[in-house]
Amino acid sequence: MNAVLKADNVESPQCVYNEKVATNLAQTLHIPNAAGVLADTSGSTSFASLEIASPGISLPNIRKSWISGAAKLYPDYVAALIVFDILIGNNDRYQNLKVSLFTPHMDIFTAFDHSHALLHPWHEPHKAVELLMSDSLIAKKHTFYGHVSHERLLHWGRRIKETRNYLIKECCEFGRPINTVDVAMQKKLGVALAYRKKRLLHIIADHEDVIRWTT
Amino acid sequence: MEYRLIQFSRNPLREEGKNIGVIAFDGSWAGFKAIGMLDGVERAELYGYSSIAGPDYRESLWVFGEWIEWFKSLCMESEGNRERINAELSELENQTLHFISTKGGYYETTGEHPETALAELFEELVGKPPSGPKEGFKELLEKILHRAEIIFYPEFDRDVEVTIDPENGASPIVFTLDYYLGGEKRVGFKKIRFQNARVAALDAKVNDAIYTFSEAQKTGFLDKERCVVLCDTPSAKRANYIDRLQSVATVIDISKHRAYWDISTICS
Ligand SMILES: Nc1ncnc2c1ncn2[C@@H]1O[C@H](COP(=O)(O)OP(=O)(O)OP(=O)(O)O)[C@@H](O)[C@H]1O
Ligand SMILES: [Mg+2]
Repeated sequence: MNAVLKADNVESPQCVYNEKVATNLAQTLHIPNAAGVLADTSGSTSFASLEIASPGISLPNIRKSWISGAAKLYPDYVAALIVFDILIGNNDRYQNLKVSLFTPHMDIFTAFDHSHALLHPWHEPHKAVELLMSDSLIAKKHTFYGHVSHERLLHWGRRIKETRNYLIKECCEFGRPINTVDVAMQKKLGVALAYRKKRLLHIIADHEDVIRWTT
Repeated sequence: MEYRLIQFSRNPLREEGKNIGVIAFDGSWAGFKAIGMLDGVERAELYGYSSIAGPDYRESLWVFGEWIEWFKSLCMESEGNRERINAELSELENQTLHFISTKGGYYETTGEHPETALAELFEELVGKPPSGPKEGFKELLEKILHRAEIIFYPEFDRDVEVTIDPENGASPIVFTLDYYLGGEKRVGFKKIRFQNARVAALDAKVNDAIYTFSEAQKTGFLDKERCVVLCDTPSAKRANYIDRLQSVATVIDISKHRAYWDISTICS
């Protein structure tokens, strides 16, 4: 099995922590996302994103002209992914998604790259937590805005809202620092997300003009 | 016309890639042609990639289809914009090391349709068989087999001797095929050159083809529509050979424009 290794970097100082938490959340919430594990490499922890469709040849990332086709083929995954990205404050979905679109009976729709979500780098971690606690959409752009039904959005919004708090918190807490992210900050993120998930339906309703769902 | 060659490498860190397609663009138009993209067919035929992918990636053949669509979409989305195409192709290595876009170059066109230039480039860089200075029957035949893309199939074989043991214990039946495509749908080929052939030799060849295909059908080894004679156009005096061959086989005149198409249709 191949993996794409990611480490903290200047542009994304909490990359590893963000990636692993996003992966944990996706698993807990049944969001189609690449699996990933922490790997200890020479003193620091890195994130190994397990290659989609491995073993084999990697699929291409989604292209702009494929978006509406993918939305038609995978309407439920699309709704799940949008709600997930709003939950984790991911404004960088862009082409960070692999789909099979031209092969009958080959269902692959898998997201990756969450280094720009959660404690995302253009904010101080404590500011990011503050922002997640507000009703800000954060995910101002999304690959699938304008390509999702209201009904499915609500379905996923409700589903995630009803997830138990402790399950969300468990996704964020490791009981040890992950590189620069200490245990206290991990707890704070857990609390913020447990709160944000309850606000999801409000946040979605407040941003109809941006999300542009179909009815 | 600017172009870049697209290659596939099974083992990117250790091996050179094999040419699989070419993307051509001129600032206002872009087109992509790769193995398996037959004229007038929406989705590429992927069978030809099995020998390129090799045993390790046999399960991944379908991924070639997705990548072919990726290159097609790049052409469409970019509308031929050079900077955009070159930028995306240079970024390709961040997504995959298996598909490689080479540096490419410029191709002098004679001013007609850009599609023609693309077809020529493909023929030249990807589909070109080894050919001599003059194109005789042999060269044309190679070219057509390339163009029909059946030589890329792993089950494609040349000069095959078939031995069939009849169930009733009679002596085995042996015949030979010039080309043979194994697998689920077996196809057998005999090549026959009418022009410049001596009559005695031609008689022998035609009789051998008729014997071979009759036996192949009688024993259930080949269906009639998958017994194929590949030939050139006979002179009027020799046209009667065609009638005899047609009673046991599909006869394809390789000098006809549609020949490669007819061959790939029978084989798919
Ligand atoms: N799990 C995976 N399976 C297959 N390919 C992957 C996987 N993760 C990443 N890739 C490939 O690697 C490329 C780069 O990875 P990724 O998008 O995670 O990082 P990035 O965009 O370069 O960096 P950043 O984390 O700063 O956004 C992707 O565009 C994708 O093609
Ligand atoms: Mg990315």
